[in-house]
Amino acid sequence: MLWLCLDFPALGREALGVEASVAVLGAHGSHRWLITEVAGGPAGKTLPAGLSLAEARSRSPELPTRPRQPEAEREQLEALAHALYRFGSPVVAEVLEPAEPFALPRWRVSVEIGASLSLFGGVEALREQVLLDLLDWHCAARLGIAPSRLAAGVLAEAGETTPCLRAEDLPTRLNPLPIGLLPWPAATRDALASVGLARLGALFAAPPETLRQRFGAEVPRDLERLLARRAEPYRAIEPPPVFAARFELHGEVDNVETLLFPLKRLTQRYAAYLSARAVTAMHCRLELRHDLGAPTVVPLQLLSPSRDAGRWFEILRERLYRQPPNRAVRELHLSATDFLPISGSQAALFDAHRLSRERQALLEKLIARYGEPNLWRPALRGDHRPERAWAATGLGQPVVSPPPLPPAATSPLLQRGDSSDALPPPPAGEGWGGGGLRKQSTTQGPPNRPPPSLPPPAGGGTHPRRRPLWLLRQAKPIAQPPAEGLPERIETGWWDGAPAHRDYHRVTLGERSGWVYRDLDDGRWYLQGLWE
Amino acid sequence: MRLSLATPPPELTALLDSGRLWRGQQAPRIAAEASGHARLDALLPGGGWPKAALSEVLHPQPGTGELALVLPLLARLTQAEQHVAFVAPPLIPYAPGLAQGGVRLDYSLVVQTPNPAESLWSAEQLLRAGHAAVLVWADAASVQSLRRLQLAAEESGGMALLFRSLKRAAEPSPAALRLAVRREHGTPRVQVLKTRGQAGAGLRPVALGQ
Repeated sequence: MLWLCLDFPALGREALGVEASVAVLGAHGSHRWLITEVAGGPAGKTLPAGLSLAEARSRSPELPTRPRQPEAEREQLEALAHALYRFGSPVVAEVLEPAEPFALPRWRVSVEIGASLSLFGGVEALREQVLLDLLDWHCAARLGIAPSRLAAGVLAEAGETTPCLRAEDLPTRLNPLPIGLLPWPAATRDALASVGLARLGALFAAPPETLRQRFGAEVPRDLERLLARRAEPYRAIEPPPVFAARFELHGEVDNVETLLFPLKRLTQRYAAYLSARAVTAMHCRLELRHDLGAPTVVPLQLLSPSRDAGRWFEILRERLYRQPPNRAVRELHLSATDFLPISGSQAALFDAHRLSRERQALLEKLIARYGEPNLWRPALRGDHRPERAWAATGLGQPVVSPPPLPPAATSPLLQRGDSSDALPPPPAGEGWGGGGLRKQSTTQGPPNRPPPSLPPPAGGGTHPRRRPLWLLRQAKPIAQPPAEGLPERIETGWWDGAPAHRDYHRVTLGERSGWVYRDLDDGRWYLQGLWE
Repeated sequence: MRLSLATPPPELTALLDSGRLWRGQQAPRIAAEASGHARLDALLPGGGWPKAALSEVLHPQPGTGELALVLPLLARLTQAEQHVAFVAPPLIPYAPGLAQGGVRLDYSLVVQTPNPAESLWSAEQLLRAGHAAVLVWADAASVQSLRRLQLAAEESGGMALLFRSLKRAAEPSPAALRLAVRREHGTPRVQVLKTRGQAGAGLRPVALGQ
């Protein structure tokens, strides 16, 4: 076995997302101490990890502090473990700490890389790739490689960057290192020090039975594990079947800027999760939890599957800018339940096959910024009523040709074959409304007779009658315009509760050419569109 | 004194065709997309809408004829599977009418924005993301935002078509082409207010159509 271990010395602070000048405190009984080192103390001095709060306060009276959050640490460590999944398996995430005052936790993620060395082109190439991946996480990390997990951790913590590839080389590499690198309780370390055992080499030289009798069974046991002579039990991290991550804010936050850091963190975890499971996704759900009341839910749908943390982040950010939460936020939750296999994900694209990556990313951003109803493609619908003959199709929906038209009482769409329709409309007053337009026959069945189930006309979605380029959102009542030409009669919709009995005309309205109709029911005139 | 060659030597023809030869007497070639309105194209340098540039269409009110003006361009681009976008149109671009004009609807996008500043920003982004033509309605636009739009068009190679009120004709504009659409005797007519290079600025309006 060959283990790569990452030791994260500042994870206790990083999990909280606070600055390096904040002291994160461990607690045991009445004891409080710094579990990570604090930068930028008085006169730029660093306060070392393990310092008691009282001592730290005496050196730096204004020192900001936060209690540690083991749960947040665990989640962050698991996310890092997910990110390392691509380098091998099993992946182990552990926090090593004796349960005693002033203990310093060690946050470690280890991955067995023996089987993946050739895949990555050797141990050096793999190591470099791991460090590159970590850049995105903005976390302090030390890396060690050794045949046992414990030794890899010890080498990492000691700053021994040269990999130790063979178990027989372990004693030589470990001999000069201090025993403080092993996660033993203070009592054990003190007892060993009191008899002059300060280096690991001295422990290796001592008879195991003596060590066991004088210092407890864990000392020779851990030494054997260290030297890869004894199995190391572990619980491998397996990504769960659904994704859920949360970030608890320190206090209530009501501005979007402050939410961006946790958001970035959560989307990064999401991407790491997707990568660990070797899947991709098209949606996720952000929940902003408040102290009181129901959470604000932000569902998110992409136009194509993505495993890119940056893309998820950008879109959620746009959404938050557009619709900031109306109450202070206490906690963020990001979750997802539906995933797609990476290979099959192409099939999930609707519109996307014609979209470049760049264009798609922009459209998603615009959707997030202006809301889904505000980005659409115009589409045809099979309906004779002009206001229903079109549709705004969302970008996530497949582009379909309109369904066959339902039968209408009058059938202007059956009047086909007028080849002049393919040309731009002749100017009004120059013969428009002559041969092309004529009053429609009004053969109509009884009003409450169900629509006959005749086969729809072929190509029923096209409009042989000319239609204008602009439509008003709602037809506007107007005074009776001067009559021009013969009307197109539309009588339809009598079966679905929105009947239309109208005579359409093209008329000049000042500087415009209007598409107007007379409602045959109320006798009034309406402007519904503009031709050009 | 004018030198004339009945048949230029093939070497010269090849050189001219390659476009690498600079000829002093000739106006620089302006890459353009035919507008589809023959009389208008005759007035425009390059014979149409300038590519990779901002063009302005000024008109008294929505529906004067501005959409009929750009319809042939939209039809040609979308049929060539190029994407076009309508940003903040004042009315609904009506799918049946567009389709009859030959526009492929699956290559047409409508974006509705909360204000003109957002419209111009979106238009810029859409151009940069590779839309061949972006139609944007933003009457109140600063010269600076127009420059940004012009730059986005230049850098992306797309066409920015800005629709504004005729009242803006007196305002300075970095647009490569400015057209005014008015109606005379019930017919939309277009007048060239400004072009790059020579040609038809200030001439009398021409009718739309082939």
